[in-house]
Amino acid sequence: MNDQSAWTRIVNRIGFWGIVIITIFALAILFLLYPLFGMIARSFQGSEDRIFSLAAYKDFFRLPYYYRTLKHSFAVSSLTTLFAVLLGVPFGFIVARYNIPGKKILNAMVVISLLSPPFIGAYSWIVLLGRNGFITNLLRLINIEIPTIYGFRGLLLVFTLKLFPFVYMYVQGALQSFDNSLEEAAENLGVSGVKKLLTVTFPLILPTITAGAVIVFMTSMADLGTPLLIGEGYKVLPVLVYEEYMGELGGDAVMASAMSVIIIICTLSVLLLQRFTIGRRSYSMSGLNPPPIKKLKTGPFIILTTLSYLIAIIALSPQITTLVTSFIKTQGPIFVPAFSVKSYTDVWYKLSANITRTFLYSTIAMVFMIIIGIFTSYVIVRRKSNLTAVLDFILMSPYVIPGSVIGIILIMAFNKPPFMLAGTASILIISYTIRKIPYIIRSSTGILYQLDLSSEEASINLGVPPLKTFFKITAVLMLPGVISGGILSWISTINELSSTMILYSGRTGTISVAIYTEIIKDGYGTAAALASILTLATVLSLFLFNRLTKGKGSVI
Amino acid sequence: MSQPLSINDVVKKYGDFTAIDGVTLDIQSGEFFTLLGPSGCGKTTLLRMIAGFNTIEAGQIAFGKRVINKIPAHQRNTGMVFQNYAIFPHLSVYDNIAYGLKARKFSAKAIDQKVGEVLDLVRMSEYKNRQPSQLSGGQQQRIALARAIVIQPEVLLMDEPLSNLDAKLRVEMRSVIKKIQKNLNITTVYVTHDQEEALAISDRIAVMNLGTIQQLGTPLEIYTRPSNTFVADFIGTSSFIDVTIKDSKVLLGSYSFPAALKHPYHGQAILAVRPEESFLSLEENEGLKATINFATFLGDFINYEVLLESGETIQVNEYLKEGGTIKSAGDQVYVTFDAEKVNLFDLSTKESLI
Amino acid sequence: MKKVLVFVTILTLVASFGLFAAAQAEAKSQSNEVTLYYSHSADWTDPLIKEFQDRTGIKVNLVGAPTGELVARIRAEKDNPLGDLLWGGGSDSYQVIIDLLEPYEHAHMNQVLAETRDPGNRWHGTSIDPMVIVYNPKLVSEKDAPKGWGDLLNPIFKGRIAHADPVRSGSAFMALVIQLFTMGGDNEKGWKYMSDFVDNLERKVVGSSTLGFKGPADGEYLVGIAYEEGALRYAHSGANLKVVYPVEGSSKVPSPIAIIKNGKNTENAKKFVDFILSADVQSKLGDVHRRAVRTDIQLPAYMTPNEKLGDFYWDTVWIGENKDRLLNKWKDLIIGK
Repeated sequence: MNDQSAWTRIVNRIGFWGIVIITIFALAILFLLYPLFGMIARSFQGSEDRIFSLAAYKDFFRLPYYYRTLKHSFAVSSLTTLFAVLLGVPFGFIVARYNIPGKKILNAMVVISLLSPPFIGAYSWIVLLGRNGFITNLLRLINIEIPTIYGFRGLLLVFTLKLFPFVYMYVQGALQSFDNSLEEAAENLGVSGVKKLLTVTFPLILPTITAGAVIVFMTSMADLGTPLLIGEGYKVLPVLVYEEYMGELGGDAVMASAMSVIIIICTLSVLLLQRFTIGRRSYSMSGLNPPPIKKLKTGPFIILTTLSYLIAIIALSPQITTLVTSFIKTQGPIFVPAFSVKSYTDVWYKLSANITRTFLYSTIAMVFMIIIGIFTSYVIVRRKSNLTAVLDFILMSPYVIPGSVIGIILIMAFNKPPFMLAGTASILIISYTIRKIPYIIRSSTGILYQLDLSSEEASINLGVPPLKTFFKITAVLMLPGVISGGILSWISTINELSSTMILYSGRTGTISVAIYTEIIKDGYGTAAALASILTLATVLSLFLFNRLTKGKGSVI
Repeated sequence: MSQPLSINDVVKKYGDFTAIDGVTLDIQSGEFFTLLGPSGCGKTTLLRMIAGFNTIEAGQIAFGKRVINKIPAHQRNTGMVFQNYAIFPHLSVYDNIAYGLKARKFSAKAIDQKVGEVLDLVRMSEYKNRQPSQLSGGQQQRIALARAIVIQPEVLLMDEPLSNLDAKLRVEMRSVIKKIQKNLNITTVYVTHDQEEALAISDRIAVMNLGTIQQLGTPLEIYTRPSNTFVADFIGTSSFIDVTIKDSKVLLGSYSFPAALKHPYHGQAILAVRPEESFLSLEENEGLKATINFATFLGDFINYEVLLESGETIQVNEYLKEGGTIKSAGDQVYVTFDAEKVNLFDLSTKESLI
Repeated sequence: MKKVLVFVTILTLVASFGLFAAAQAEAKSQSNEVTLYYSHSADWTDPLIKEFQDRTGIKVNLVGAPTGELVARIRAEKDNPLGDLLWGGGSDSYQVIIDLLEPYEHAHMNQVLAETRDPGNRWHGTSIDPMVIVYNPKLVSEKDAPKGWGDLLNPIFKGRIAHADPVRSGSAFMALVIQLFTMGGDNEKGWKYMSDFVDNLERKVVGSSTLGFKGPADGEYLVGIAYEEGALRYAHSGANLKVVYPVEGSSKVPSPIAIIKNGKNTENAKKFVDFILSADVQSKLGDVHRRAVRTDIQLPAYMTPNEKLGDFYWDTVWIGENKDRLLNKWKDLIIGK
């Protein structure tokens, strides 16, 4: 007892969960708060004689070169959100309420398109509609010139098709838990048809729709890969941040920091605006009495079914395009009409390490996420205190930080001794874990709230100490849910580009980075092969996810 | 081994709210003791203080001579049956029951034997290898009970164990529980809000309200001689009528009957009458003049809602086997009370005068 | 309880600091590989890289990006270099980070043109990259076709000139310097031209230097500024593209390769440099529209000879020293400060 002394006494005093809380805090401070506040501080750095300065912010709002990108970002994100809602709400409504055949297939198509990265969409639309695109060339044969898809239009097209599934799935979810007696009550009171939808159904699912819309807005605002590939002259804010940081001049770190802060403020305000207005009025419904699925007459049936599948196929066309083009022979930058597996053999000699790394890093990150998710959610839910509430808040913050900004804050914080992490696999894994931690914590705490406390109490009552009970009962019961959350995070991690672009080095490049560099180097064949490998991995893990959750898991 | 349980002036506070306000109880070894009260009365809080899931702010709780205030929950050696059973969903029936035995480091052989015995006791032997999801509510209830008693706890704690079962199963299970409890002679603290269940199952009952004990006694005592209007109202059905007491007589206008008061009392009081404690007559007698408001046929008896001239309504039951004519709404009747059985309460303190 | 506590304490320590340990281990490992930062396009470099891998058994890790970004990386990584080689862009980009480059006397020092060599042997020209003007003959008539840099101020091209951002793209920076000096020099006159040129660009630049020739070829832009190799490659493959050598003159900018100082695989990097400058590889450059730097190799007949590219001297040292200033001035023009 004596010789184990001080350490043991301290350990016993704060207890296991105290140590857990301290550890998580330490990790959050080191890897999140320190880099984040470092960036915020840097954004107020003036020229050498002045410590505090608003110069960067003033320049940003004074010079069109800078503030134009903010306008561009808002224009793209707002219109994307609008179109995603216009596409997602009716589509979700039709599939949920009418007897469209093959709903599971439709949903699977939408989910796959949702989970694959936006830059693959950008790439595919370039292959189809770009300057030398497949459809462009076909139309050219009959002398039709289609307008360019680079710039504003392309961004809008890619983002809308990529992100409307969020709205679609939120609407479906809301309609499935909708209490039909409310609609019946409306009919009973003499209101039916479109009027019933507008006065009862849509007002009730409006909070859900806006929640989906906010995600669309935030995602399109934060994305870096798509505008880099397809934006060209039409610069949006994340691209400017990237260029400002990655410029040959050594980068204007102060300006890049100030712009990062501005993006975060934008995404945060949109989120808060939704939360404190419409989001507040969210109605919970039992879902025990969902509305019946209506049978359509032959005419509308054919039209709506065709329309639904058309939308789903268009949403999935990036995956189809990459799969097909990956087997088309390429000659330099040009696809020629013959089949070949050369793209895959090229990938093999040139980029096989990228594939191994992608899966390795994502898997390590997933293990971290699961461990952190279980422990953190436990202290947040079962050891409620002001301290754990603060922890919860800190760990939710990456939700509003775009991936590229996370990349920049990490590289700025860890590219000098004593934390020399630049260019290592570790920094990528840290970034992946940070980016996904809000989602993991949300899903894990959700699971824990649903777990009845009495299971733990029963175990303690039967003589198993609390800590052992945690490992024998709570952790075991949480695991399936947390693992399926982990799989979803794994999927988005293998597809991650925004922060990887900034953090990778020659020895840590991933598939998504390779796709990006191959595209800018005209290597469309290899890019397609890599994208197909990513899609395959995504589909397989989705399958696993469905098995684990018995088809009841939600991917959003 | 089963132990007596003594609770001495314990207090539980949540911020400014006092959930348990100085409760003292002595429960005998082997006794089936019920904490009864409406939701929020503190009964579950007290049970969880015994189990160790709630801290004890003041006072003390002891199993036999062992004060358990400072002993952590997992070392108290209580067996607890939870309202929702809390069967571990990832463990089989066998592993659920063996769980506490493994924690007590019994040999595999001993565990096997004990689990076998207790499964026999709750008649679930053939379900040994089932997963909890394959069991019905009643079966899960038996497993929860088996899991709690197999560790031979000093005290068995049950938190509304029957509230999730349907009516018929509830009656069946309460006799199963009662028999097993008597069989093992295990000190049991049982929490329920269902007065009928409490009356049926308990050796003794503590009726609780607002964190204090209102009355402590056998089911019969509590039913026949409630110590205050709260208990009279909560247990069974009582109709309350404002009366005057003078010279040991209860005065109700022209009608009066003797009152068996424990101390002399004069002035305003409350009369509590149960439906079986009053009589109706179509012929005029000394009783109160009243009108039948409503008659409900309930099989072996008829329940009447009777409107007194004072404007108060009372419930009266007439059993078919006692004969008499069936009355209908609007009939003029005369009401008399069973002076031996009715209860009287002080108007201001609401405490029993009998 | 104590055992569990000790176990978990160890576990959390491992979890928190394992990453650092891993990072350290990563930094130290030395294996049979080399990391190449390159900005050249994949279709002609890939076969060369593959051949190098096959010949030497050395695995080449590829980091492909615009030259400007690669230089930014090398600067950012100067305390812990993660790349071994930089290949692509103009010699000026190398001058900017000259202290971060490792001098090396490669195996073919005597066989290469003097003007493609760095006096300190820190970078080595692997080809000569003149900048050219391209236009789409379907959209621009013979009469309006640009003959030199001055014609890019023609209002009919307003907003339809494809030019990459000199801040990101090495070749676009070359064009900036060539334009500046052939149109007046680093003085009021030269910068007046640049300012007018930026106005005619409508302050818009394209995302990468390949769009300098792809854009006009696809009809998206009327004219473009491009590096010779891309322009010729497209023109020869039948694209709607005409290549113009500006009358005011272009330049014989060497496009180098260099070894990054304190890299993890310097020996392997040296082998790669020797390989790229070997007669074997250099003799293949003509087929991919590149100008070889070896004196023992003839330029293909279709190429305008080196002597006819004008007499503007590409002073790498001066340009390197002034690059920040020039780019900042350019940026101010684009930003509109």
